Amino acid sequence: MRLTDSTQEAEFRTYVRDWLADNLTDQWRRDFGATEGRERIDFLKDWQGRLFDAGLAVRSWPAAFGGRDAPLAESLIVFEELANADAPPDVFRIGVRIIAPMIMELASEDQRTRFLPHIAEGLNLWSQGFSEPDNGSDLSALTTRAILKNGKYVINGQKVWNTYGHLADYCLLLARTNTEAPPHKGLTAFIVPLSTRGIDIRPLRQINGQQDFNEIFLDDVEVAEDAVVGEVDGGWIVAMTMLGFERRGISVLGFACRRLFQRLIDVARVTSTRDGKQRLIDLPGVREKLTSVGIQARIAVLNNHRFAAMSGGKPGAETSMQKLHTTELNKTMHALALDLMGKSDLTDPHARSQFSEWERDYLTSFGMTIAGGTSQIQRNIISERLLGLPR
Amino acid sequence: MQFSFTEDQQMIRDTAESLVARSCQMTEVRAFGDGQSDFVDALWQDLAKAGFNGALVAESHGGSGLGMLEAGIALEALGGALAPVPFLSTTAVADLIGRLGSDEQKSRYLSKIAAGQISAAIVGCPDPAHRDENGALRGQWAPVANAESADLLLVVVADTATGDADSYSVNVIEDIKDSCTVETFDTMDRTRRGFGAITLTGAAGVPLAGSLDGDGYARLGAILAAGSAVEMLGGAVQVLEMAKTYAMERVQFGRPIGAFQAIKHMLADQLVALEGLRSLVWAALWAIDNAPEEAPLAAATAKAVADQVALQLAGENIQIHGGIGFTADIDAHLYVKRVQLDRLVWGPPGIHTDFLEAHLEEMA
Amino acid sequence: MNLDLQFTPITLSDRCEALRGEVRDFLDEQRREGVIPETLRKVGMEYSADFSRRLGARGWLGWRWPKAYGGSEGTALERYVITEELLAAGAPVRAHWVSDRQSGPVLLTFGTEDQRQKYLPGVAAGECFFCIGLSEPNSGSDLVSLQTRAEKIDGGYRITGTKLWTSNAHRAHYMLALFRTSKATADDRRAGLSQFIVDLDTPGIKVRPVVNLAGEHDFNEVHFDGVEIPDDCLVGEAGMGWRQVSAELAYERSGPERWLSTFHVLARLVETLGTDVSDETRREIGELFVELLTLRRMSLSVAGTLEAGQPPTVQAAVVKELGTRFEQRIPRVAHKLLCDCPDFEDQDSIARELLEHAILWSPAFTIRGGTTEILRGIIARGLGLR
Repeated sequence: MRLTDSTQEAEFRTYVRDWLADNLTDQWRRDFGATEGRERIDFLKDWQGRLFDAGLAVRSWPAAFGGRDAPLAESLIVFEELANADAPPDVFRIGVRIIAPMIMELASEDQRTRFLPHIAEGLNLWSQGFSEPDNGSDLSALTTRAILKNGKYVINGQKVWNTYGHLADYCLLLARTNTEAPPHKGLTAFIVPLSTRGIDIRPLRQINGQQDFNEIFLDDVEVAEDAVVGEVDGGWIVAMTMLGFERRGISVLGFACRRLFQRLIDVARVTSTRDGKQRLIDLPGVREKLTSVGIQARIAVLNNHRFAAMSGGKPGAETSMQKLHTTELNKTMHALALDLMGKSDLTDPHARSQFSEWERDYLTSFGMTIAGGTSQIQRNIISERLLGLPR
Repeated sequence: MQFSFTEDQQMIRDTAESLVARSCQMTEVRAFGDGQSDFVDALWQDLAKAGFNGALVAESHGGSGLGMLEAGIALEALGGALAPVPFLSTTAVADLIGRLGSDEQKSRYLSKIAAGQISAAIVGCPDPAHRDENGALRGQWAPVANAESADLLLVVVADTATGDADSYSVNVIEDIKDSCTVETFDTMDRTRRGFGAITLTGAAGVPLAGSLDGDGYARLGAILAAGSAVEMLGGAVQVLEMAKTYAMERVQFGRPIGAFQAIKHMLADQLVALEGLRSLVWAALWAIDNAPEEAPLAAATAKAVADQVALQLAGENIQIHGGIGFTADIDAHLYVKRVQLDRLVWGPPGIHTDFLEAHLEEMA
Repeated sequence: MNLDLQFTPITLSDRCEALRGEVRDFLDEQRREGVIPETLRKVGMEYSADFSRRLGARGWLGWRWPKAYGGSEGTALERYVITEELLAAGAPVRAHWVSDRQSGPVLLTFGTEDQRQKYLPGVAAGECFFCIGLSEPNSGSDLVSLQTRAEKIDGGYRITGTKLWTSNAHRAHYMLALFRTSKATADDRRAGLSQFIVDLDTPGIKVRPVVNLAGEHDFNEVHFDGVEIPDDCLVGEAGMGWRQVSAELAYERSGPERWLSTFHVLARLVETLGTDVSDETRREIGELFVELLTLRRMSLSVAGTLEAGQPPTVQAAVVKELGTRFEQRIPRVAHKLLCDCPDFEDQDSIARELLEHAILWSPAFTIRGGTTEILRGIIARGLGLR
């Protein structure tokens, strides 16, 4: 058992830190932090490309697909250092951490060659087309239909909660190809270029003011047969594989939680009560709450390492525990942040602008206990798959 | 990082589990609660023979020369089985004597500890003893584990005479009944007996050759906190298993009660809490052996969470069992009672959370 | 979803407050005579047939019942005041509690005139004690699945089966029990159950003690081995047992004993700590009192609903759900605050004894009389979610 870096890991960590020190400043936050749209995406694409060139992106991927075959521990070091450096958000995470690993496992050789390099380098942005208005948690009952006609699949239907669809190049779409079979055995996964005719993407306004996700309307959208990933009618395993990787991806939030804890400590240290007489960090009630979230943040980081050692490369149902724990902790910590900011003197413009930033992040935290399988669904998964309780 | 057990450690785990399954069965634990203690000596000997009692004793003194991680492996198994043996106090005492004792003191005690011939109790951490104006040792502690049966009592004394806030001597008392008043402290935990209220009556015992500085005192505190936390982890693992099994077997409304989300989600939350505790506990034990400057914070975190999670799981185990959980007919109550004592015996409830709050900024 | 749930605020009348004064005077007297202990070392209700008789003699049992049956024709709110005072004083009310709270009301609503004449006066006098025969080893939360059979025979019924968790079956005179008189049907799981009064002296009844985790004998297992009881033991209509028991359960869940069980721990805590305490401690105790007073108001509302003749099923479930978790919180908080108190170990052994007993009993609060999980299902149904 070793809870410190090996010599090799320590060297790698130093490399990552040095690279970040040389390549990342706060400037991006000022330029693009609150905006949306093409400029921000272009910056983030550039950022992903630089991470790739530095050997930091997709490090644990097989070398054949652009990775370094590195052990999972190194990927965790990258995630941890990016979190500690308040690095830009990873908009490529859907492609890089969810779709690409699935493509490596289940897609054809041709599809791997065609798509993986561009995902790794940030040349393409991907989104996921699973949920529908009537089928969210109960995904297998989805109704978007794909019918084979004259050598092409014609797709009709509607998707929702489609993150980055308005900016993405491709969508990994799940549609029904068989209405006779039991629901989860009649689905097929397709790679759909979002420039295809018949696709209408409408942004949805989120409570945090951003418009990162969309409704997608598909009206006689035609895709070639080679757009199928895996087997026809074998889309469920594609979806489940991706959801497993998605949960692992969201669990990286554990490192972000610890960083968030540091930021909360900093806020409490520098912020005074309204009467100016005490620092927030000296108030007993504040210390108690900070201690509580600090403990959970430590758990989140330790769990990341312990679970990684358990499952090797393939995420198991333990990722549901990480997802449930870290997203709920993230929500609690953001609520605490608003509490702290609320105690400060908001007549001060600087405090007010900080408060606004925290407000946005607080609202975003509500999405995380819902996306990728709600907390309630995660509890079902945990109790059924890890404890063996009956469905 | 490689946050997993090595093969050797896994083997030690297997040994501990099968030893405890053989030598500490629930029927015997229940009988112990009713006054029968025949099996306890045999269990203590089995633990010694397997090298566990000597985990923190150097090989030159007949020990296994292992670490707190390995001692923790034994403690987890013992906690899960509700074993009535003073493993933690004796282990902590062995560590102190090994570090501070003169050659004569080490020879006098360590091999006997490793061989399972003696057991120990310890007071003064937290709440060190002090000397009064006549230089006599004063102090009072309750409940003290193994107070009534210990062969050795170690007393940590604050050395205020030196003017150094962080200096402690450690006295060894062999004739406990002559040196202090030991009053029986009957508790709800019938899986352990011999808790006592100890009052020093002035007699000193013999100080160990070396003394403890702040780091040494903190190490002792970490051993007791992390050791208690891993014991409680063992119990928590068992009650979750018990609750899960019952939820799968008990049929009401035409299906196992584990099929209802109220129960399912409760158990899911329990598992998440348990896994969090596990991460903290093993990180703390590792730190004691490998990163001593991190150990006090790590151990306090593990113990603070153990106090809360072990109680939660033990209590919810009763809730899931319904009426029968409230009877003496099943074992659920034994775990609740044990946890209540565990929350008391190494410092008052909340002391570890208080420590964390005081060191909040170091947690970041 | 239906959000109609109402907790109508209640103001107690002068008559109620005057009655409260009378009850307090009576309790002081009982304390002087040693019938009620000066200092309480245990939570919950102690058993004293003597006290129950004295209370009955004062006319405070069967309070709402017609005078013809030994009652006082009083109101539900007045009854609330009486029971609240008894519980706050730690009076030993165990012996008569169930009979007065629910067995009597069941007979009043569903019993025959002969049954009312036979049993009610004794209950009102505090001399006739009932216990509850509902749960069975395989039927706890799922009560309607119960199996103990009452087979129709000439002139009566033959009872075969086992009841469990019957508190005080070893000391009561009668059991008000739910038995199966016919099979349930596929579309009605609740059909086929009937209520009976069983004289516990009847031959063939075996009462086996079930010791609880506090080492006390309160629960029992009661075996019926072909026990024969006469026809006039049937209460209400055969096959209508579930409807009758549902009303009974609403009574069972409706009173202040569902949040007052650990009240003495709180009272003792405040006494022991004194006024020289930290702000933190003040806050924690303040929070407990806020909850206590809120629960009291809700409980009064439930009594008001009873007074209006309506079954307070959902409201009582809410109060019990909140109240029993509150009962568990008090010893937890007390334990924490008292352990921080430097002299606690030396001085207050009574507080320690009381606290330890409360800690031991804590798990029972959210299990007995309907588990928290079952109550939440009832509340969900009340909200239209099931």
